[in-house]
Amino acid sequence: MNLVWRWSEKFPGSAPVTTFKEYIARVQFDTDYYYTAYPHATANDVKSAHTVQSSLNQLELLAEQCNPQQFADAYLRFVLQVQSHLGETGEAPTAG
Amino acid sequence: MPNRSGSVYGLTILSPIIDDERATPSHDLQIRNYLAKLSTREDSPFALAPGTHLARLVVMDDVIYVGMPACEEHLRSKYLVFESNCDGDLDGYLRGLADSIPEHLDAIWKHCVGYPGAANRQAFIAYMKACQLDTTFYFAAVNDKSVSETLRALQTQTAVADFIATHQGADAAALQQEFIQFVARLKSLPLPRPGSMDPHRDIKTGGRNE
Repeated sequence: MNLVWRWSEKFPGSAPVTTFKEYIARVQFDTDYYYTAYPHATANDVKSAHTVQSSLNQLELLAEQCNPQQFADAYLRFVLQVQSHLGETGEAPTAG
Repeated sequence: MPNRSGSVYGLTILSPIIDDERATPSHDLQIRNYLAKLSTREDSPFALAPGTHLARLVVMDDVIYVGMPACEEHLRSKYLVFESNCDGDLDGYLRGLADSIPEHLDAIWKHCVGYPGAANRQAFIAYMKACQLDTTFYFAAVNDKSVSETLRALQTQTAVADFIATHQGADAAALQQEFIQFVARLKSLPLPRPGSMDPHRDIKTGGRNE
């Protein structure tokens, strides 16, 4: 951050955070219109979703070719691969 | 090419807004008024047009003066800033906008200097490219997937979570059969609409009011 913004007038540095946030707020342009194709997903959700899709595609190829025990072992490995990529997406919970 | 990251294109367009004292309300206010009423969900114009991951529109009144010792400068015109992360090449994307949502484009950009209208595809593309700024640095968290692929992956993520939750401890043979059926069912589902909030699932926080 400092290496990129150091060339800007009055940039206070990225720390302490209070002056940094004040600077950002001062030079910010409010957005008049904002659209995203997947409003329920964060950038990390999107990365995780593609990890799950890729793992599922691999398991699908295997599912037609192996016996039930081999599939159960592969399924367990699949669950281990994707378990940290299955977080809830949607609107963030709000108080009140 | 700085405008591109992988297969995703980072587009920035600055169009000068018409400065006409006789216009009431002024052209910049007419743009703001139109944008304020425009849907940001699945019936957004950018959801109807193909290939938009993100789109932003900003009416920029002037540059910001941060105080001494900076030199106080002003723009000669107000600008409409359009930023979009989109799939594919720029010409194809702009043509897709002009084909899908010409009335929205005209309603917004008719307040800009020299806008030729979306009906004349070649003139429209040439105008947008003339107003384009090259990106200096562009980072996309996921830069090798289209909008459709991402919507499909998010749908899969939700379905897989549900499948795993409901098949804990299942017999191996039944698990295999049901997995094959699950994948076939998943593939037959329609693609979620861009800009939609589905799938909706109630968020369980575990709080005492649940």
